[in-house]
Amino acid sequence: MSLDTRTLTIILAMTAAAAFCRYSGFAFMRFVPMTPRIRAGLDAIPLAVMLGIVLPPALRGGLPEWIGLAVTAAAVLLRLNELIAILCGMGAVALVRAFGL
Amino acid sequence: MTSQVSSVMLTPAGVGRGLLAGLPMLGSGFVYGLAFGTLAASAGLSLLESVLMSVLVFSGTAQIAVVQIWQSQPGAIAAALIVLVANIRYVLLSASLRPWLGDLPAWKAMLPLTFLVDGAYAAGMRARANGETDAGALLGPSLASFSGWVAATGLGYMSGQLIANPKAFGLDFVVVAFCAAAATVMAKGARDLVPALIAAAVVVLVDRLSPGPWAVIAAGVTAVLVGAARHRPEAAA
Repeated sequence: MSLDTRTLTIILAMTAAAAFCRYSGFAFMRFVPMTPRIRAGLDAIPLAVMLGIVLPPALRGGLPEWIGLAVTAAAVLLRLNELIAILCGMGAVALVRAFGL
Repeated sequence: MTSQVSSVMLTPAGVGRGLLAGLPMLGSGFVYGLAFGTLAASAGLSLLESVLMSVLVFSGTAQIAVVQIWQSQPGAIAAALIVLVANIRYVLLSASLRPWLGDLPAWKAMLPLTFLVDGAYAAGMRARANGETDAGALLGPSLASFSGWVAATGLGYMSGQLIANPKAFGLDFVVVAFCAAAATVMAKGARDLVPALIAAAVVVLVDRLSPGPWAVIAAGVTAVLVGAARHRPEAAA
């Protein structure tokens, strides 16, 4: 159980960088007038970022990932409980992988 | 007409609802935590250092990246830069939360921001698309992820890999599934899908060129620009 100074310095520098990323966008937007145009831009972020997170693993993965995505989306569209939709997606991925596809 | 009377709050009840909805995040935090804890132990960090890093930095990809180069004795600035690049997408996410959290007292807005992670953002935005106003929809899933992450850092450090093959259970897919569910809800309710479609094309392209954090950042930047450019005042009326 030890904490050396060099490591502590690194951890604190990493903490500052992570905090900067999490606060700065929000803080910066305080000084930007929330015009309808800017708001329309900001409102377009979430869906695009979701796709940015979802697509790379699917592109790099393969059949299990694509089937998992399809099952998750279908479960949401069928109005299943969100938790269940996510578990269905995970289950589908695990199942397809189990079959070695 | 969006009748947004400022009824934004952050209540224990809202955090509770968010925690429940975000329960799978506990699992995903746990899996990443195990991976990081195991890696930190073999890299030569102490248990205290590993857990402290997980509590303060709370960023799986960034911490794993830093610990992977630990043998080469990275400096504080190099480590901070790695965190910055791995997490720069949070700048966009946090900017996009201004319309929602902007009406909260500063300290209350800071809580969900402090614990911001992709899956919690997805869960929160999805809840919001379904009419939730309580910021607990963001904070709850974050706390689920955070507790799994910190606990598993310690466990992974002490005992090596507990779950031998997380991929076999689809555990690596939790965050992706969260985001896919959120994307489905958002796409259904979106007035204009063009920014997202163009962003998706950009993601495919950027991911080809350079796998890593840039695809998400490019997606967000593309969407802001296209979304703002396509805004027509009359269309909003």
